[in-house]
Amino acid sequence: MKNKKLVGKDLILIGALTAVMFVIYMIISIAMSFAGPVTNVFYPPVVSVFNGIVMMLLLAKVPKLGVLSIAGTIQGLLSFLLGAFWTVGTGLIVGAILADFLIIGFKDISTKKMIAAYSVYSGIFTFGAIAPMNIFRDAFMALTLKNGISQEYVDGLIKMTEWPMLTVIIIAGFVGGFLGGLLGLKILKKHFVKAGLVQA
Amino acid sequence: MINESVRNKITEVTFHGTARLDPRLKLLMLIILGCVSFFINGDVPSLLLMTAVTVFVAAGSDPKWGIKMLIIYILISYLNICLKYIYIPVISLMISMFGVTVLKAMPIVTLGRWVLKSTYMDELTVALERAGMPLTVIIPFVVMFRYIPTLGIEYKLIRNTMKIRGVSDSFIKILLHPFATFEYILIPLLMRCLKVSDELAASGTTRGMERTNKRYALQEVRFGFIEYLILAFVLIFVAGLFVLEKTPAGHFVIWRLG
Repeated sequence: MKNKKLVGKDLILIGALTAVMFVIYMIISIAMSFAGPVTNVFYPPVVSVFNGIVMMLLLAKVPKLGVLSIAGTIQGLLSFLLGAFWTVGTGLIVGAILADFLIIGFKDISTKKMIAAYSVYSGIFTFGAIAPMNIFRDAFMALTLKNGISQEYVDGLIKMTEWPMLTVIIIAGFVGGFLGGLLGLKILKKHFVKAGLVQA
Repeated sequence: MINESVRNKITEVTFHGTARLDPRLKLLMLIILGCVSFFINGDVPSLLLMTAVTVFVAAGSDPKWGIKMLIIYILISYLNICLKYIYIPVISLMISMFGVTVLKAMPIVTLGRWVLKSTYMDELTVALERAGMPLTVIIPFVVMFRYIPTLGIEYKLIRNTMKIRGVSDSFIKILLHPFATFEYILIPLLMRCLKVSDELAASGTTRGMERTNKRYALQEVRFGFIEYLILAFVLIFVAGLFVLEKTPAGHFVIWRLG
């Protein structure tokens, strides 16, 4: 009978791995926004692919309800702190809690559930990060311009987030999460299970 | 007599001045500053903000870091303006975006790193618990703050080992095998992370981290009069910055060439 409550040991692991995820998120989002509006809108799926590795490790070590919520909430709160648009953090928090309660739920975890939950989380995160460029277009662009970013960049962003492209981006979000989950599981098997750090 | 010197030794701290403030106040300031920094756009208010942060950090027994950041800030502001006069199609865009992001993030990074360095983790735990946060939130937060510097050290160690073995040590090699390089850095990092977390968990349980009783700290952790005073001061300062932005002084461009 496994213990379902989150123990101190689990919380510490969540904290440490969330730190790793957040650092990866920061590096990728800065690198991709740096390179231009085309890559900027695709940063959430890419972040999800890389963070998938860390998240799968976390879920494998601590297969309990609440892990995804806490990890996502902390990342969301930190993204508020670093001044991303308010929907990014909200998307992270909402996505994490939804994915956790709807998919991981109260029964036992399986690898399929892990990947599904992470895909949902990643999709909602992408929506929260990029959709405002279309839905709240004026507020977003005004804020970006005020921050001193040139008009060309803003025009590029507007072009990239027209409706057809926007659905592509959101779907990419889900796909990115899916791929990240698969990649994470593969790496888990290849390295961590062999090293004996994680049970299969 | 012996008791006195022992008591002095135990209560001795390495940080003085503003570093001794309640951790909740420091976190609150970080949050307020984060929001403010992204809304202030004039040159004068931004510079004032950065200077205020530097003064604050300097008063908290870490002047070198504050002054270093301030100098970098001024340099980058100047460079940013120079860029408006030289126009190279793609690179200008990238560099200006980069420059602006860096400028916005500087006050936050300065204050943030100082908060991390100057706060003792046990004081932080006590302060957060008094603020009423459940254990499930406090522990990950504290672990994160404590772990990020460790992450940096582990990363350096891993890169050193890679260089010794000739794996992805030069820039060309990294460019040719980007994903492999990433894998070679990330996997050892994660394995070290697991080991460190296990040790942390053992050490924490030994120190009674999982107990749900009320906690005490050796140093006084209190949201007292000084904290309220400084909070009021910060709020007035922030309001002042916003007002300044509306006036012509806010649009005054400091960074000019010729």
